[in-house]
Amino acid sequence: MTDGMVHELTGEAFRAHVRGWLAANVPPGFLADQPGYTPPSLQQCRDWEAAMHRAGLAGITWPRAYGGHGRTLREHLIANQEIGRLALPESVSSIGKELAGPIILAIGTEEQKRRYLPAILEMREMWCQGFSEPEAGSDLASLRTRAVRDGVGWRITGQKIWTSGAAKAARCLLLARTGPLEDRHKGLALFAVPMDGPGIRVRPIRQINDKEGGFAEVFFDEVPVGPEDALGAPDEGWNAAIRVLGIERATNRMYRAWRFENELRHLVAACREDPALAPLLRDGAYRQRIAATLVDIEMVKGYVEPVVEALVAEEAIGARGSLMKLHWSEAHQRFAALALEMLAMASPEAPPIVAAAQKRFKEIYLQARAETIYAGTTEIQLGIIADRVLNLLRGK
Amino acid sequence: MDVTSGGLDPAEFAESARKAVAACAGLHAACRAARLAEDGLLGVLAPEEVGGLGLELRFALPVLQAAGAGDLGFPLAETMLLARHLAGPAPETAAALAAGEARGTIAWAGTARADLTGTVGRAPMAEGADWLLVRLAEGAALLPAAAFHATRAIGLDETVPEFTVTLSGGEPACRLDASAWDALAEEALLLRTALILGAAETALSLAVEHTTNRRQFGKPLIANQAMRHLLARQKLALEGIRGALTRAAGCDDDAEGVLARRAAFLAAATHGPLIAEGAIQAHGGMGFTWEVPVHRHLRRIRALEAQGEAPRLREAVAAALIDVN
Repeated sequence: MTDGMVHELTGEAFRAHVRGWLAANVPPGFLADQPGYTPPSLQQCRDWEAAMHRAGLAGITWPRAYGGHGRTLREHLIANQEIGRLALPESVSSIGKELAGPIILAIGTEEQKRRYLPAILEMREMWCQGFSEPEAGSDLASLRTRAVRDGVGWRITGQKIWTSGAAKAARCLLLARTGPLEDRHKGLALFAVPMDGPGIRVRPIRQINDKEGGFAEVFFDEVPVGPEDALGAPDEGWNAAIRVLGIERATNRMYRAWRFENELRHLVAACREDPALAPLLRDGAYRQRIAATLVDIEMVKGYVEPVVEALVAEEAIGARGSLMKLHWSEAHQRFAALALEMLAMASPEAPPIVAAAQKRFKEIYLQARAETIYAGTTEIQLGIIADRVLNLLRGK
Repeated sequence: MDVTSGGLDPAEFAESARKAVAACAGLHAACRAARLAEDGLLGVLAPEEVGGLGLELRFALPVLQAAGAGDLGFPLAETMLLARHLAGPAPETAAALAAGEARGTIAWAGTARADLTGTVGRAPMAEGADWLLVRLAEGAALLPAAAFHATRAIGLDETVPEFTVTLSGGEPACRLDASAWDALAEEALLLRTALILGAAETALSLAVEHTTNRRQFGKPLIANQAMRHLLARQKLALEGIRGALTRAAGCDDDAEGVLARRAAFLAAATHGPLIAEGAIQAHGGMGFTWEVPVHRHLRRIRALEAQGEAPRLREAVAAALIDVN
């Protein structure tokens, strides 16, 4: 099928294209719920994601002028549903695709869009996110990293933390202060800092899941940044970041509900194959909890699909992303704990499919600890719902 | 806009339903049917041949939501379903139900014997009803008032009280086959979900109102983070139900749709009670009084959860995932 033909497919025809392409092109050993699974290397992941983009499965809503496919969020949802149904690896470039890219689309210059966006989709450049700092976690507006004018450009000095993938990133989407600390969120500016420049030091931090290439501390010492790498004016960058974050919270990893369903099917399939686990599938208490997990997953879908329709209709989605994020992150934790509990009762000589499930759910269980922390902790989301969804009276 | 809806918007029903529900609060139970029929609310789902509007299920949902929100003392879901499903086998009865001239209900628990004796349960407002639909081993049967005797059941709901019904045998007025009953029971899931959504929404707004106005330690209760997070969690639960219901109402009639409809009701059955219970907690001692109406919504939600047999439905959801191949 030619590129032009794919661009005209909609609805079920597009779904059939996505499904067919995935079935024919997923590399051997890539699926975590299949025999012969081998965790793919970074390079394999980059090649895979580049291939997905060429086939019309990534960059779906981005304009064609910047390497995207110029489709609506509806096609993005369809592709994600099909991607979610398979136990594929997570994107190694989600900061670029789901955070930096949309912000650049919103406030970048024409030149910046042409320079950064195709490189993201073609997997030539990966990004990391320089928002959090040791003294500015949830309270982002108290960040201390400074951007000081230096001729037409800037010099950046400070420290970022929890910067996932900093070592492999070509660029950092960095938030820095142009005025005094007392200005809070006034005067904050966004930069696309090249990670290979002078004055940058990356110190990896070991994560609880011991994952390679996980998060890091990044130190910036008088790092020069040209005017071409400033994203929007001071203030504008921060405001755009907040706006885009609100939408991204509701649209990122749109395949999530379908991936959770894939994980649940994997759990059930594994339990069937082990004489010690099969009885759990007949146990009424476990059946109730498995059903409750499915209901949780259906509720995630119930958040995603109306958001897609609202955004296609150009309606504001407000703080709906906070409701969605809070629900899926806690639902995933409940599910992961159930899976861990069940798989712990496996035979000592568990068949390979069970061992594979044990490995997958060990990782999911640990990763799920992060899910209620990153992108706004549970406590922050509850605050947003109280303040901006319920509009509860504040103060004394 | 599709052809069957004839240019109507489900949301338009919400406003007239709110008004009718509010008007019913001042009426004797026996007069409520006529008031609801005035706005066509009883026949939303019934075909036009029996005086109904012949609309899809999604048009009934805002009506039921308004009924739940306004604590309507009438078996509205049952009447709507009877008027739709009796239109074929008993058109005159369906027409009388849609017109508010006869009162009917459905016994959601238990199965009648083949000779139409035995005891069935969870029949909302069965006392004084002209018609009762009871489930059989296969399908269902419609019984006239002379063929059953209703006694008040041990149940929480004071708004649409449940009755246990003793059946005295005889010929039914008509029968529904198994597929008609299954369709009715599945539609009932979404109607109950909408009722629970409405009831829970009112419970939460009462809690917000109380905690905003009530001052302790020199500030409104709602200024405390513990209270804000409690209510935020209730809002999360409420919007989860709403999303699941909206999605299910738009799903096709395939396996995915079946799961979505069951999940919507189970979301409501799981989270609805927590919202109303939390609303009582937020009211403090006032929440334990008869006067504050939150308990009425909690009672109603618990009855609806029971009528939908949530644990049994969860088992069916598990079976569809696990017991295949």
